[in-house]
Amino acid sequence: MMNQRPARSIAAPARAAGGHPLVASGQHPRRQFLRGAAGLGLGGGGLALLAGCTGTAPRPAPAAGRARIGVVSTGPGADMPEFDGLRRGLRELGYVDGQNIAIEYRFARGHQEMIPQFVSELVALKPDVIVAHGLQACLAAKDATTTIPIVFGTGNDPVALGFATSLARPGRNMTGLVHSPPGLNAKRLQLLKDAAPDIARVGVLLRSANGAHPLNLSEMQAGARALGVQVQPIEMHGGDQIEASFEAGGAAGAASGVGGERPDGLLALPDALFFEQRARITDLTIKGRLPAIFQEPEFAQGGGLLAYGGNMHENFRRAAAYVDKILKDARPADLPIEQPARFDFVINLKTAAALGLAIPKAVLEQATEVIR
Amino acid sequence: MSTRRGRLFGRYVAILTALVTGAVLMSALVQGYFAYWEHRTALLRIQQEQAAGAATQIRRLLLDTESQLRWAFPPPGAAGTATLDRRRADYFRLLRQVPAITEVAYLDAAGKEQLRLSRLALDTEGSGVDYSTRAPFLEAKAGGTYFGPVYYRDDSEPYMTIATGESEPGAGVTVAEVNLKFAWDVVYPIKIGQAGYVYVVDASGSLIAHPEISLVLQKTDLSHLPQVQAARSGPPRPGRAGGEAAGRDVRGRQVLSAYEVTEPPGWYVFVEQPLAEAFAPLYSSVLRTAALLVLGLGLSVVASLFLVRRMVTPIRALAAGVARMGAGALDQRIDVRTGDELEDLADEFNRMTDQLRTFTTDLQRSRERLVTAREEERRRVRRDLHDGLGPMLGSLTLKLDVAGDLVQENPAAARALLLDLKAQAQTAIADVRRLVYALRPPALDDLGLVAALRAELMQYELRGLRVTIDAPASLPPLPAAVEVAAYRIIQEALTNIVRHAGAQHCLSRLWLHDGAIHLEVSDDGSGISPLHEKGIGLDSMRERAEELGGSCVIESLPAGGTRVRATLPLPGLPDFPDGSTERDAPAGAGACAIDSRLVASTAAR
Repeated sequence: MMNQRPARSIAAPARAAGGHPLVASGQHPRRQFLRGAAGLGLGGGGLALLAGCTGTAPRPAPAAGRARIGVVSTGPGADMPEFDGLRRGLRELGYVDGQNIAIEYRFARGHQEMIPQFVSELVALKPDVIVAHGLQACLAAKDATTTIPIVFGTGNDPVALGFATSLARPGRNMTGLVHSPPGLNAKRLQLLKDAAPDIARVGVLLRSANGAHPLNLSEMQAGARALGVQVQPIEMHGGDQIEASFEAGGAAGAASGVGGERPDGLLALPDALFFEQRARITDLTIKGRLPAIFQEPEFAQGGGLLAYGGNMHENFRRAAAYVDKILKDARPADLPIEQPARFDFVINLKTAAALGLAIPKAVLEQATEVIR
Repeated sequence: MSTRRGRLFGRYVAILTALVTGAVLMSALVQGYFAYWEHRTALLRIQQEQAAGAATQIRRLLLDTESQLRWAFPPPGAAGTATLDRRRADYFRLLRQVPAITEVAYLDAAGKEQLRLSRLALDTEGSGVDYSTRAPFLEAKAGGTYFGPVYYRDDSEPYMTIATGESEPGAGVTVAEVNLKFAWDVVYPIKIGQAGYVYVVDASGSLIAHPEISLVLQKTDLSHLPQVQAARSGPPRPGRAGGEAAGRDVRGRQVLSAYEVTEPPGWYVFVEQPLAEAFAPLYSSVLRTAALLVLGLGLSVVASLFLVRRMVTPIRALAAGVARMGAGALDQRIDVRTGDELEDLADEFNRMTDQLRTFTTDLQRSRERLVTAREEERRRVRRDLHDGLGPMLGSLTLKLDVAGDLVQENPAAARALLLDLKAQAQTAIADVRRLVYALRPPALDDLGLVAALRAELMQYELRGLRVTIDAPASLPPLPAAVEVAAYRIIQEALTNIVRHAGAQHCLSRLWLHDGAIHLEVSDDGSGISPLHEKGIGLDSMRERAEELGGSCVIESLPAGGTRVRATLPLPGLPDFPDGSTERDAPAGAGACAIDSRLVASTAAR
């Protein structure tokens, strides 16, 4: 109990990580008092009993004290649809950041090498639960603690990654959502091929720094073979080098094929950095006259041709239910990992027209949203 | 006395309190019992209706899916000729319209898979996988719709297979894999009270839909729950419903549970509410009753304290008053003003005290009289001895001296004097005898009471009164005072008869009965005239009787004449067992002839 549910009253004071968004967390008067009393007890040594009492006291309901939630993400910031969804879900369950919960965010913004440090910062704060978003964040959290409950959102197989022993009974301190089941990238490839049957070589936009992407790429190979298309990785190095990356990948312009290796379609793997730069990326695909498919609907809404995937806002809204259950003393080991049941397929016909592409009727039939 | 103080009080308080409490408790129990059953029946009925409603929704969800599958069929007449592209387009539309369908496949008339579309995996065409011997194909081909058993993808996500076939010759079968997590949309919004919920289990008791989706994803088997066991014990047929009050939920809490079978596919829709919540109104009513009970108990204790105090206080006043009376304070009065039997009782005690006081005064007076009479008697005896016998004996002495002197000188005169002296001495003897007789008739000592009376009566016989006596031949030794009183009362009565009544006959009776000696003297004379009522010794007879604790009554007989009856108690004298001394009626006049010899001998003395 002590190990798994660290006493918040003797938690170290909240540390503001310089430069990173930190949601203001004004301390609750009662908890300040408890912290003071416990500190005195530990310092004086004579009042250890008092400290012991506060340490083993039953965890107050979320309304009584302020539950602390640490969030670590590979993404750019708290305005991502995932975290909008998380906050909305928490709000629906009666948790409001700054009132009865305090959320501590850490965003890597593409600097994946920072993630282990962020995770250990969060673990040092001894939060009631850590929400990990993105493969690197999930892996780092898995390595950093076996006691603090972790709610993850990942596009990879959590059993294969060792997050859980099974979907039904995770068995560890981790549970959460598979927002994009394995195989969905191959499915995207098929949808792209169905929409633009002529394509034979698809550039896959990825970042090697995103640990999930190499996995995604290998998962796609079998599907690509079955569909009769070749996949060609296009490594993107940084937010300011998108055009250069496209150039290097041979996807920048119709006439700049490098040795006939120019891709005639593009699939962007899910990545928070891509999401942040989606306007520039979709712009480049139109300029390069590349039919492209993405995960988040926002890409298609912003000019991308196709988007197919689970709704991330919705998925992370459901992650709030895990946070709620854990704050109410459920064990992550007992909370089954959920898979998405709803998928959005958005087709932007304006982009199709711009690309001179006639989307087949059968593909249009599948769309949940068509932008005309 | 003091040890028993408070017992009455405690006992009545306890009885009254027990009565009131018992009545309230009894009514609460009876009311609670019926309220429980009514509440339970009503709740189960509501739950059954809710279960029926939820079952209808679940059924509609599945039948809608089925009809959507049929909608995806080619138009009538085109089934045999529809191209796969045509079917693919229809299936895409189906997938868009029914989010719960994750995969849909088309099997041709021979059961070979021709098309498989998926939300997650790559679509395939013409895989040719043979399904011809599998249940979905066979059942759908036979014209029905196949609703398969629930299975769990990745050991977690609940799925079922729905297959339906086109009816035209040469047409195939559409098989859909349906994600049952969408049933959550049905069960989640249904709220039963605060903590009640709806869930669905399949025919084997596996959980399909539950507001707590974790339980579904964990493939929870609920077949061990008593309500599920009860539901599964019968054959699943549509609309079968039941209620169970002894259900348990997954956490072991007691629940009130009702269910409805939904067909297809033979699932059970349960509606449950924790007993603690379902019966919360009942519990609060029980609490209210308990509060009333406590209040009633308090009131009954107070009321009984008041009532018993009202009763016990006068009883204690009575007890204290009687105790004071017992200690001799006869001038005290018991003051109880309750206006009921207790006041009557106090009045009785007061009257008794008054009588006791009267008796005491009378007793005092009799004692004084006795003392006075004794002194009178002594004075009379002294006077008789001093004034009569003394001077007589003095003069006798003087005259004997004179006679002594005269013997020598004048013997004749001396003889005459001696004769005179003899006469004088005989007078003195008569005086002594009279004196002695007045003190106590000597016949009593010589003859006993009965014989003395017979001798005395003989005197009156001689005066012309015919006297009959009826008395036992012998009597046990009686106290001297009783003998004298009986003798004198009868003597006085006879004197009155002779002196005033002018009677011819007189009957005198004497018998022992009931620890007393009874006397009766009756005559056939003229009765008591008002003139003679006083001064005829009536008072003295009554006094003699009363001095000994007895009584004496003088009355006129209706047929003329007078009767004197007296009763003198004989303390310590047992009744005669043979009854020989008892006479209820006077015996005949000659029953006991007066013994004249006895009288003669008495007279000779």
